[in-house]
Amino acid sequence: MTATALHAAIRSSLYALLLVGIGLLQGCAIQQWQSTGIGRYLDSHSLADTLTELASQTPANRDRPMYLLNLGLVHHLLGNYQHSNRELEAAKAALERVQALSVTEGFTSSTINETFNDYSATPSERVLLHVVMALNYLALQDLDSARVEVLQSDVRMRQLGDEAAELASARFVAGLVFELNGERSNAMISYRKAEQILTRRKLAIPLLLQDRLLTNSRRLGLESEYRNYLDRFQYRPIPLPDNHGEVLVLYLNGKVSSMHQRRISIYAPSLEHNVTISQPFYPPRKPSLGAGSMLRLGDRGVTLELLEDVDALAREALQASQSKRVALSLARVATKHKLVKNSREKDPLLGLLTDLAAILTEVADTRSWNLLPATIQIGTVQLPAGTYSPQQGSDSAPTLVVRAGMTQLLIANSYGYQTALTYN
Amino acid sequence: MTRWLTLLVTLSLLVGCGTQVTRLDPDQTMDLSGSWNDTDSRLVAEEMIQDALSHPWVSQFTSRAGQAPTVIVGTVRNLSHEHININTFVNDMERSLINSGRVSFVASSQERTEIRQERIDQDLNATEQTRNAAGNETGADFMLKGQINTIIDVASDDQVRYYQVDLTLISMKDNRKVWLGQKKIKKLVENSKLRY
Repeated sequence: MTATALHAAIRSSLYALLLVGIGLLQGCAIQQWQSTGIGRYLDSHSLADTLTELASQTPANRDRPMYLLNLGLVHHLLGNYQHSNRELEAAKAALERVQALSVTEGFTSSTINETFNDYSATPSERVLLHVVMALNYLALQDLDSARVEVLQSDVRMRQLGDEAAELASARFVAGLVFELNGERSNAMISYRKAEQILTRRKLAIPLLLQDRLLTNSRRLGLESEYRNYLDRFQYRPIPLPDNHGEVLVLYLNGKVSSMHQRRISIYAPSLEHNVTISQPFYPPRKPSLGAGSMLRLGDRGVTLELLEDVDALAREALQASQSKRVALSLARVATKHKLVKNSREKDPLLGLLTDLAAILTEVADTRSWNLLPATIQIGTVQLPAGTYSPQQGSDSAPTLVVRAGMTQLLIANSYGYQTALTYN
Repeated sequence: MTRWLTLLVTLSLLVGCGTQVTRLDPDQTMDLSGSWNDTDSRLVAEEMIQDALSHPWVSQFTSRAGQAPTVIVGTVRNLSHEHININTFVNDMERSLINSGRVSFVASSQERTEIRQERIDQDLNATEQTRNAAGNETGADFMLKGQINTIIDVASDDQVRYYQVDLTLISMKDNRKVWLGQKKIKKLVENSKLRY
C-alpha cells in the first residue's frame, strides 16, 4: 500500500469513527430523554401505567439511581410499600457508590457533557429518600424500621451539612415516629427543628405542627417554651369532643417540575466555527403550587397546609449548581474549540465533522427525581366516629374508620391513594 | 503475531471482567461497608451469652429448683441507625444458650402460635396415641430481652459508628433482673474520596 493510499485509508477510518461516535453520543442523549421523560409520561397517564412504563425501561448504569428512586416512589404512591422499600433501599446503595469524586466524570464533564456522570441526587433528594421510606414503614406498621429511617435521615442531614438538606418534612416525620414510640423528648426536639427550618425559610408554621409543639412542650413540663409558643401561635389545642376521633393527615401533593434544556448555538467569526452551550432550567412555576389544599373525607374536608415545598427545593438545588455548570460549559467550549481547530488543520471534512460532533454532544443534564411530589402538606381534623369513604378518583383506596378517643395518621397523595394507621 | 497476542490479552481482560464467586468460611470476618454484619451478630451473641452463663443466677436457680433454668427470648429491639436483621442475632443467642447445655430453651411467643395451631389440628385429626394434648407446655423461668443502640459521628465521608447491645435477663416469677449484659463495638468507616 502506498503512503497516499494509507493516508486516505486512515482518514476514512477517522470519518467513520467520528460518525459512529456522534451516533453513540446522540444515543446517550436519547436515553437521557427516555429516563427524564417519565415525568411528562405521568402528566398524561395513570400511576399504574407509569409503573408499567418504568418497569419496561432498562436504564443505563449512570441513570440507575434515578430510575430506582422513581420506581420506589411510584410503588409508594400506589400503596405497594414493601416493593417501594425494596427499590429505594437499592437506590440508597446505588447512591452511596457514586458519592466519591470520579476522575473519569471530571474528564467527560469538561470535554463532552455532564450526562455521562452517574446520577448522584441533590442533597434534599437524598434526605427525601429516607422520608418516603419512613412513611412506607409506618404504613407497614413497622415502627422500629421507620425509626431507623428517621435516624438515617438525621445522619444524612448532618453529613451533608447543607442548609438545603435540612428538611422540615424529615424532622416532622421524625417527630411523628418518636411520638408513636413514646419518645416524647426526641419528638419534641424533632418538632422544634421542623419549626426552626420553616421559620428560617420564612414559611408559615402549619397548625398541626403548632399543635404538636404545644402538646409536647406541655406534656414534658417545658413551661417557658409552652408559654412562648402560646404567645407566638394563635392556635390553641382543642379538646376532643365526645364520640370524636382525630385524624392527622400527611399528604403528598402533585408532581415536582421537570427540567428542560436550553441550548444556544452561535457562529463565532473569530473562532470560525459554532459555539454551543446547553444548560438545564425549570419552566416558570405554577402560581398555585405553594398554596394549601383540601382533602375530602367523605362529606368532610381537611384543610392542608404546606410543610415542604419540594418544587422550590429542586429549583434551589439547580441554582446552587449553576456556577459549577457554567464553568464546565466554558471548559467544554475551550476543549472543543481546540479539537475543531486541530481537525480542520488536518482535513477540512474532518474539521466539519468535529464541529458537528461538538454541537451535537453539547447536551444539558436534565436528570432529577422528577416524580417527587411538588409539596408535602399536613393537616388535622376531628371527626365523629364512623367510616369515611375514600377520596374522589380512587375506588380501591381503603375507607377510613375513625374511632372515638383515638388518633389516626392518614398518609395520602393527590393520586387518590391513602393508608391509615392508629396513632395512639 | 502481534495481532493475535493483542486479541488474546483483550479476551483475557474481558473474561476477568465477568462475575466472580468466591466461597468463604462462615466464620471468616469480612467487613465490606462498615455496617452491622454476620460477624458482629455472631461475636456479640457468643460473648454476651458466655458472660450471662458465667454469672451466679444459673447455679442459684439450679440449686434451688433442682433443674436447669428454662429461658425464652423476648423482644430484642433494633433502636440503631441501621436495618439490622434481629432474627439472625436472636438465633445466634439461642444457639449459644442451647449449646452451653446449662439452660433449657422454649419457643418464643411467635413460634408458639404455629405450634398451638398444630396441636388444635392434632386434637381434631390425629389418633389418641399420637396426638399431643394442649396444656403440657413448659413455662419459661427467665426471659431474655434487649436492644441495640448506635451513636453515629459523621464528618464528610467518614463515620465513627458506635454500637451498644444491652441484654437483660428477667425472672418470670417475680420480674427481678438477674443479669444485665452490655457489649460495645466501635468502627471507623472511611469512605473512598475518589473513584474511577
